[in-house]
Amino acid sequence: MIDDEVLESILFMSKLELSEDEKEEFKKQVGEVIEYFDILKEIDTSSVRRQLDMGVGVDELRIDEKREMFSVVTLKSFAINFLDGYFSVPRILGEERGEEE
Amino acid sequence: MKIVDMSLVQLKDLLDRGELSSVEIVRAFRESYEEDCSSDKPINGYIEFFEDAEKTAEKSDQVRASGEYGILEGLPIAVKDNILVSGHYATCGSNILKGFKSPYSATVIERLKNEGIVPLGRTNMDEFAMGSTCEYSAYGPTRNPINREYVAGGSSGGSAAVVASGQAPCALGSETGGSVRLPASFCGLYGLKPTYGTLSRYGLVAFGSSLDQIGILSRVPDDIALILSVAAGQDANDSTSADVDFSDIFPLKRFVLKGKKFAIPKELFERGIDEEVKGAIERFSKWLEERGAIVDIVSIPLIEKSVAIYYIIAPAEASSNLSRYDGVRYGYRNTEANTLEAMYIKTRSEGFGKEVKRRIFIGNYVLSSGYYDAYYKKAMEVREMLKNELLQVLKSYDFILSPTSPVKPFKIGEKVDDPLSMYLADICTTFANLASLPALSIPVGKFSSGLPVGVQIAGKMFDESRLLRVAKLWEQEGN
Repeated sequence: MIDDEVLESILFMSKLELSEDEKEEFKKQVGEVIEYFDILKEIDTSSVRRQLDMGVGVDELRIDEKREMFSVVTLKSFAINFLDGYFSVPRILGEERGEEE
Repeated sequence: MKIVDMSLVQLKDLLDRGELSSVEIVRAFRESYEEDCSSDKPINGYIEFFEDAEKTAEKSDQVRASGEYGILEGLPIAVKDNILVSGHYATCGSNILKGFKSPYSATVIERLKNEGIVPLGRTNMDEFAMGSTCEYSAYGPTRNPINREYVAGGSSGGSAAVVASGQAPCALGSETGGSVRLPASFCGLYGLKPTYGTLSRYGLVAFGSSLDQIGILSRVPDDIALILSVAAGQDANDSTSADVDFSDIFPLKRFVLKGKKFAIPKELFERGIDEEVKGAIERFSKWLEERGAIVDIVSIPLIEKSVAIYYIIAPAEASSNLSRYDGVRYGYRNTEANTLEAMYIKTRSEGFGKEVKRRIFIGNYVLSSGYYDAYYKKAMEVREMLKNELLQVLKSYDFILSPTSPVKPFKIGEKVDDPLSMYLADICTTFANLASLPALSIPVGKFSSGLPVGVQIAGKMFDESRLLRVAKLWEQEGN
């Protein structure tokens, strides 16, 4: 059910990579799960109106106002690559994918 | 009775009467934990017993001595590793969050702390709460205290195990599809999944946002009521929290079963159910009927589809919620990758375990173009239909009665490589999350193997009080 093309494209979307052995195991295990989902296909849902909220009676969001949040010191403690108010990451331009395009 | 065998309510009574100090209580639970750590097969319930627990208890004793103190002053609680406690690590049982220290506390923790609670430590869990056995943790599996060759249930297995083994009197867990009720059932405890919205989700690390709720595990129903009385209610930081007042839920009032109606969904008994589980339901039904309750077998046709609905919606929501773990701002980062894209991929592939990868994959699959209508949209529509079926039944009945788990607890390693079979064990619990209903697992005896068995009662939205009162009656009379 899950062929190599689908596997690779979903892995790309998921930002994950697997070894060749893991890929085979994934195809089998996830394939079985997806196949199980077919038990929903027989149900006629044409007249269903989907509720968009959770139905707990909350229909107001809080006022959008500025509040005290984390200090720079706290943010720094999360990541080693934090400098001058920015999180530092590896280069973005010239990535393999960008070059191909 | 030893301190470590007491419930939260019993400890509260001794503290209030001045016969015990918080320091003595915390010390007793620490000693119980340390004793277990040095045993042949430790339960592995705690990831960390907090170094500062005794210090917090000391402060609590001082507050109590001042005469003005909180309802929970000096009482200890264990906390699942996905609920934030300010200044402490929170890793969700995952390598990707190792080293992450919470900069703030969850609203539930904040409310409990304001009333004097002492967090004891953080408990083991299936990574990101994805699992039914507590084996998918970066810290290794949690063992069932009743028989250590068996799983404790998941995902809040650590929380259940520390309560069942006398390392904590009560614990917080989290629920997305049964993660409090299953381990409660496997370890012989009471485990409540509150109505969606009863407890704020602020500071509970997100898995499936339309399903997640913090839950409570304890040895007696009154302990759950005590925690709810303080922690429930609307929170400005969670727009889905509900404006409910549970302040008078504790102590639980006596419940009259006469005339109350219980519905047993016949579809849950049609396949794959263990004979001894059936026997437990029969015994519990008999006890209800002897006290004048009416127990009927009813049909809720879509309930048998709840595993399929759940395992489409929960991974879909998880795939989005877990996209934040990219190595940029916090948590683990692969430092060898020399491009941003490679860093994302290496970080996530090395940081997440197998089951989390499977769920992210399933989530992205059912949300992707070409499959969205057939899976995600369909599941959302059937969820709505299931909700309507359940609400319809709850118009005529007070409670829905079912097993908590259709099968006995698994042996460690038995199901770990068979995800579909493990997912199917959630057949009796997921419907409550899908329909936002409260549900409680009640310990009702033991299998012939000696392991505990639980039954579940689900109720109308925000009917937690009546669920717990039925349980208290069982604890006093039926148990």
